[in-house]
Amino acid sequence: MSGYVEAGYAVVTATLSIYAVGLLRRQRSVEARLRDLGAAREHR
Amino acid sequence: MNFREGERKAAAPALNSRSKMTRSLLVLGLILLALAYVLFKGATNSLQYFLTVQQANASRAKLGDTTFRMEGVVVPGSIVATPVGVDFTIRYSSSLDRVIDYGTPPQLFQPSIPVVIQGHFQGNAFLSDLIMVKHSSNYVAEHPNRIKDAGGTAS
Amino acid sequence: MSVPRLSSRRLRSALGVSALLLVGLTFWLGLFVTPPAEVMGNLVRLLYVHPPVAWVAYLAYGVTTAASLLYLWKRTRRRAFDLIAAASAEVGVIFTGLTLATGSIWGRPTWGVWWTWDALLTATAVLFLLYLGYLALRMVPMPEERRGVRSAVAALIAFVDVPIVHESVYWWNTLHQKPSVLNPSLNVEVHGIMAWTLLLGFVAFTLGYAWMTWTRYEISKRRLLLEEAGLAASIDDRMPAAEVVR
Repeated sequence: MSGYVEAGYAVVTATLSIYAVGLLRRQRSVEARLRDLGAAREHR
Repeated sequence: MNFREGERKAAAPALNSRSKMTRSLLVLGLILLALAYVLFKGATNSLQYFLTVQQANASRAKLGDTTFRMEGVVVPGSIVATPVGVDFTIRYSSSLDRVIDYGTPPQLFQPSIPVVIQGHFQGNAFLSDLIMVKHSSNYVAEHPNRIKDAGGTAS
Repeated sequence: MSVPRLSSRRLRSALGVSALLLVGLTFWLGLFVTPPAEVMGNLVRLLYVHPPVAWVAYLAYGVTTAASLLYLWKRTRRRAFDLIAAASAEVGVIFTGLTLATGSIWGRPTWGVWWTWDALLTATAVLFLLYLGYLALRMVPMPEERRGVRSAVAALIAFVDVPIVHESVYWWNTLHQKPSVLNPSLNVEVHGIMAWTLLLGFVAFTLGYAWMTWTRYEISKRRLLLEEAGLAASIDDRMPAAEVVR
């Protein structure tokens, strides 16, 4: 095509992918910590 | 965004909160500075982004040789490529101006396309150093069946 | 402690997956199926990305504004609204950034310039900075409710720029064209499969926005739960929980 089209699609894909993957990772880590917290409470 | 680092430092007492305050105010200050710059550029450019050829010709004496942007349509058949750029006639309604442009016109530059040019009047011509193509909001497929009708294949 | 309910979790996952599929479909149609356009040729393919992304930015700030209003009104003041406002603004800033980036990439070959200070572009840059400022304001340490109120007020002020951005092409002379879809007559000035692809783009990115904002909100909610339990991970390692002051 022209390079510009590809660049536009690439910028959108890259930005949104990075953000979405970041969200998933943050979600997983915060949920893991909440589970740890629950387990610690039960332990006590 | 605010919580991203927050989780680690959240409950950390005053020790951290001071530097966090300084840092966040610094970030806020930088953003406000950028905002002021953009608003200044807006105030000096956007409010009167261009004059039409008609308006420019009407206030030609007042404009003198000040630099401004002018809008019009490229008159078909008027385009002449020159060693430094391109010459053409620009039209808005019944007003015309001869344009001498220095620099490469954008790839969509062509007869009958609306353009915004930047430059100033000199003698009988408008000396431009920037041509911008003003695209309409209509999108129509490029002669959809032209190639097929001719027995070819699109590539 | 609210362990996420399975049903809402599944709904959110389904939302995420469908957003991903529809964005993929939009990209495939946009890049390979739709025809090149008159005048623009292949550059028209950025049409399926740039307006939908800009629309999502408007939508995100609309949600932030609604949530901020609900937070400001004492009878409906709930922490959830503050968190939703923040989550939506964060996603909005990303989409505004993408609007500016894709617009610039599209502007270079069509207009001939990466950037120009016309009213629409300038107002969009202002929009980006206003909401970036909103997010920065939220990082300033202060008591939760005060932060909530102040950010909500800031959000309302920032939203004033959204109609300005949208109306700028009518109020002032601009290089940017008038909207092809969200125009006053809602007359789609795009033809055939190009129009369908564009509309699909709007739907796809809207779903993506919904998934991102929802997920971001759930993360904030859980982080607050953690903070309130006084057990942020690093502190947990260093001192007994009892000593942690909230």
